[in-house]
Amino acid sequence: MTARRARDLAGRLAPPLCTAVVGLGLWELWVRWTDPPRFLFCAPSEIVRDAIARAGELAMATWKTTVAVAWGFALSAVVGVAVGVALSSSRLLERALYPYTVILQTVPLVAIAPMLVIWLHAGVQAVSVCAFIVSLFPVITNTLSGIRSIPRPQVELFWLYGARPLAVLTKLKLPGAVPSIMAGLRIAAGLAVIGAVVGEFVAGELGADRGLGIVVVVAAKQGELPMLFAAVALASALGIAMVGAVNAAAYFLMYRWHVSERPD
Amino acid sequence: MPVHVSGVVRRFTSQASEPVEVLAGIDLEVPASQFVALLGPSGCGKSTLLRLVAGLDAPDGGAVMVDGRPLRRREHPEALAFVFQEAHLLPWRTLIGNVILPLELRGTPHGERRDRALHMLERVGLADARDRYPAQLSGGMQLRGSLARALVTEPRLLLLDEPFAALDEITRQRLDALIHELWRERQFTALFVTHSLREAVFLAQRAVMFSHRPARVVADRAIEFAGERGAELRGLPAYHERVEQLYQDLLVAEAGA
Repeated sequence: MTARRARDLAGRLAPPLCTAVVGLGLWELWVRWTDPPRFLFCAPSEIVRDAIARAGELAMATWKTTVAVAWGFALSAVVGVAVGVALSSSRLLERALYPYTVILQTVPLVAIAPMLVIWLHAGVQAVSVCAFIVSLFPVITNTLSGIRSIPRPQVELFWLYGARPLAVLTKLKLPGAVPSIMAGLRIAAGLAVIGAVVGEFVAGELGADRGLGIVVVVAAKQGELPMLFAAVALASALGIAMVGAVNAAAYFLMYRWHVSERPD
Repeated sequence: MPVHVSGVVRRFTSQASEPVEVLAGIDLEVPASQFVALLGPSGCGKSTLLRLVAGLDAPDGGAVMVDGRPLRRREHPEALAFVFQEAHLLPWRTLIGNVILPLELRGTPHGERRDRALHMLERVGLADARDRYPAQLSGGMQLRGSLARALVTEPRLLLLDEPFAALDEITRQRLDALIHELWRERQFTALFVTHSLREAVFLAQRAVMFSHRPARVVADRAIEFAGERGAELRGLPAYHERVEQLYQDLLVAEAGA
């Protein structure tokens, strides 16, 4: 890494790190100053202390949730793009199916999770499906609108040269929709984490194979506030990592040609 | 490649209003290798006619024949190329990738594609920019790129839909000179829609003036000059007379006579 790149990276990381340090510092000072009852509030230092003491348990839970998030997200990326492409290919199909994709967006997850438990039993499969259901809609709708916004003359150009439908799909529609698809995946990445954690509340495995969602539920019941905070922090970190991964993929795919990935 | 347009009628229907007749029985005979400028008031249907010849749209009446064959719906003449109002290069492909595209879609053998594209880029003066992406090119360069993309398949009929409307005067004159050179070299048939009378006089052997909607042909003039057409043509009295004549035609067309 060159000195310049290192400086760029430092310039990018410093502001959010400062925010974190200042925020956590104020929080710590406030708790030490006012000394609230520990079943109501705890200090960052206490969260870190408990988290380190039970690091193995938390690492395992984070891993379990990560697996479910990864499955759910991968599934919604593949299915979402495929459904978006299918809907874009015919107005009739779009009219017939699109209204029902909105259900994905509106149905409360906690209401369907019990059904998933009946069909799939509690565990990583049911939780993955929760993450999938919650993160699918933005991928479908962004793929669809990305393909629909490809400029008409570009499509006509392909017609004029007698392009086959497969060539239109792979050389025009998919690459043309990439910026939009990546925007959809970015939203889906965060939603997949929410879907998995909330899914675990209802459909998560208990015991040794529990994920972060179960850690949250158990810690809340037992009044272990530091554990509760630690699990929430890890779930947030997972979300940030997921969105970061999508951003990296978007950069890799588009930095050469798209304005959104251009350095200032 | 000759083009015959006979009695072509085209109406556009919208839910809100009565059907609008855009072309009301257009007849146009263009012999092979002729360079024809299509002129007329904005919105008169020149571009519609161009799209009909390309097979991108179908007439409601009459017939379009290209190379002696009637065009059927959803059929595009093989040896045709179209230059749109904007360059419309694919932004995720490099310049040379864009010029290769038509060869790729037509199934030209792999080995030939790059050489032909590179040759064409040299021809339009963009060989050095071949690996750049469209966003890194100026508007004029993008249009030269789209010209290279159109000509790489060696079309015998080139349709141009106001391609240089958004450019500054100097860039536009350079591109006009380039098109003229390429046309002299390759002798394709050209239909060129433009609003610039000077551009029409500089480039075309023939200028066809359309009236307001529904479009009819109000003037059809040959444009000939002794000697070659170079930058000095724009200074000659004969050139300005031609422009003035077309201007009078345009006034007639605007008046709806």
